[in-house]
Amino acid sequence: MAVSAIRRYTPPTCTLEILAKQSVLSRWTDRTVFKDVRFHLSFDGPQRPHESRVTVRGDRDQLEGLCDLVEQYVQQVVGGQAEAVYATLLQPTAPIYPAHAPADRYPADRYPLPPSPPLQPDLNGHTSPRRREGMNGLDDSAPIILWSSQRREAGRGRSPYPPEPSPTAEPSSIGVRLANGLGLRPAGGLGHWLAFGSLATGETGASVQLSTVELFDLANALEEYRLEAIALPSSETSGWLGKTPPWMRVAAVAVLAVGSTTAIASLLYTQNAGLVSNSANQEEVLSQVESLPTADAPADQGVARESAPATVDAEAALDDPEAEPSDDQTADDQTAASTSADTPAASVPTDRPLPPPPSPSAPVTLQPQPAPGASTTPGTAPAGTLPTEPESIPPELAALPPVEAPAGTAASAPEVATSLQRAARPEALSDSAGQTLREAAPPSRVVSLPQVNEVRAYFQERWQPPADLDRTLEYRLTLGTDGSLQRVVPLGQTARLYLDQAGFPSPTAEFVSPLRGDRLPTIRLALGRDGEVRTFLETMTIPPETP
Amino acid sequence: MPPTVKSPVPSSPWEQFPLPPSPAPTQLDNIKAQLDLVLLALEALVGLGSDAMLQAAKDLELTHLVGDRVALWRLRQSSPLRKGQGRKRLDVEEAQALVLITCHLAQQQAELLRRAIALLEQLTQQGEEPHRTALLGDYLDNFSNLYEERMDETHTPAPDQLTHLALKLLIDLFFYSAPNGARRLWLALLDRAKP
Repeated sequence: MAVSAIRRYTPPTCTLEILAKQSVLSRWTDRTVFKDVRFHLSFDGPQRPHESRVTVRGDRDQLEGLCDLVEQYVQQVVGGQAEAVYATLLQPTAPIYPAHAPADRYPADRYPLPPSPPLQPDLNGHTSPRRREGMNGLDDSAPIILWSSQRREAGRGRSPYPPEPSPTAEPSSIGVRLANGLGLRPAGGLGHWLAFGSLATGETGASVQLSTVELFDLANALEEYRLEAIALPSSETSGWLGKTPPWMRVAAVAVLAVGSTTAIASLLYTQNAGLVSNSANQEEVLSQVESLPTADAPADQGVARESAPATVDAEAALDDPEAEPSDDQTADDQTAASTSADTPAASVPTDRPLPPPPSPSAPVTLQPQPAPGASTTPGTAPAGTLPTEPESIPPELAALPPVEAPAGTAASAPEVATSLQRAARPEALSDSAGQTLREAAPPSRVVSLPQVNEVRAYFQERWQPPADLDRTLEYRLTLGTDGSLQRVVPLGQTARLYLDQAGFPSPTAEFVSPLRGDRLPTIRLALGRDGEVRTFLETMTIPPETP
Repeated sequence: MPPTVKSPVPSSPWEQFPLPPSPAPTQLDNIKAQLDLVLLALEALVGLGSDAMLQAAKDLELTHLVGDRVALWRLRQSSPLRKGQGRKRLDVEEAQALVLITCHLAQQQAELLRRAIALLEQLTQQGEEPHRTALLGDYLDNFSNLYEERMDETHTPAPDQLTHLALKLLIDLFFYSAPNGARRLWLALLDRAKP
């Protein structure tokens, strides 16, 4: 039985939260292997008015689709020609954040996108194929849908995203649309439309406009998740695994591991131990806390149902105003139907580059293979055998940047990013030796680590919100083994401005009680403008060994 | 004892770069020009010079490729937009070294880049000219001056186009300041190497 895991990626303007079960396969790779992945993505940056904050929820396939979408789109932006990017992205437009403005001051039809200027040849004699229509031949003169209640009202009355391009339209090179309706395109004013597609609910509306800073943070959060985790297909959607008894799943995975390497097999199995009992022992080691409650099936189902989004049909949400959920009742109705509606089989092209094939000295192959003769659909493909060209792949994906084009290069893409990250950050070299492992922080440990409460108590005694503070300050604290404060990372510009007034102790001062074990916790601290102090554990990290 | 498996560690930071499929000379020119322009934008924004670039090369253990000012100058001089004769060819390893150096420096300036982009967003949405703020105004002036100083006059675009180029490069640099920025830049360069 796997351990419940949670990951939070918290760049300043969004929060990506991964809820999953940590697979026992995590022991055999330098990345965490998740299964039954759900995610929450909140656009909750300090610049965004409270009423404009959006949270979307989805499953593993939708998350993978979002990763692909953002990666491709960002690559299009940085790879685009200067004049084309200026024409589609840098043209002035209405404010993204119309703060303190009543909704009726910003009727959508008063703020059309200005026409794009005629394209000029770029430097080096380049000419761009981009046209005035914008992404995918869409009409850029479509009204801008603004934040706040405008966004939701607009979602009811009309699509906030321009209609699909006609089949004969010449594709523009900035903008990506996936088969499940997820899409990104320039919005002018350095903004970007993110169409939620199958993630859309009555609460979120069909799309949201992101600033470039928000897009940057979103891309980083997704990239960080991808570098850290391998998400297995959900057992709910993987047919052959889902229909087998749990003990057979464990046995199948174990047999795979045995087949992959005899060295690993010799460590895993003894002559007298059966597969099932041995796997159970491994999970006990994995959990590392005897009393740690493991997630049982009913609880997991409950979590999955609770976080299941009320989905709307992607194309209908974007193109058919009538299909947009107009009230909570509609959302509820769709929630009831979402169990089958959001099953992502064959809907999300998961063309994520895969790790390189294992060499004789390489790690164990992690990919569970389907039984012989079992059909493999895009939605049910096991990890590592993700389809690169699903049948429903949209034209946008067929023209991927070169990383996906040659098979050999695509296979090494995640490692490229990893190695580059290491090269660019010498202090992260210890990662490559497997010394820095971000451990899952199950909810029970969040509650039980006394230092989390001690940090809260420390600041409850000292935190005096400044009179001019207008938002909550958030910091990420790293503790040393002696309970001292090793590092403070302000999350957001405001937090940085008020760093001196937050009342942090000096690195040598006594802070909280010493830690047990060698894991260093990273704690999130939120200091409210009303004096409220909140803390929670983010990660437990094994410090690198010093030579 | 649970097994511990380590991922294969590349022996050099650029071994994992996807290689271009033998781009034609004109496509290589695009790569060389773009690399030089991205560095030019960084210079214009931060005011850094060759010392900072050489220090970055040292940090990244790339001194065998970019060891001194002359080597750096020769690499950058490979841009077809540059003034001067006797242009040096730029091989793949050297291009990758410049990518790593550029993104290393961009990461060091991540906060400044973030501020510049946030400011640009604000001004664009208000319909105001970027020149109205000191940070962006100085950047655009510096970029324009450096461009005119170093590039061949026949390649100098109209002032508006130069401004658009400078702002586009600023957005690019922002995305290159992310941890995976070097990969983004390399892929963007390969995109320019497409026929």
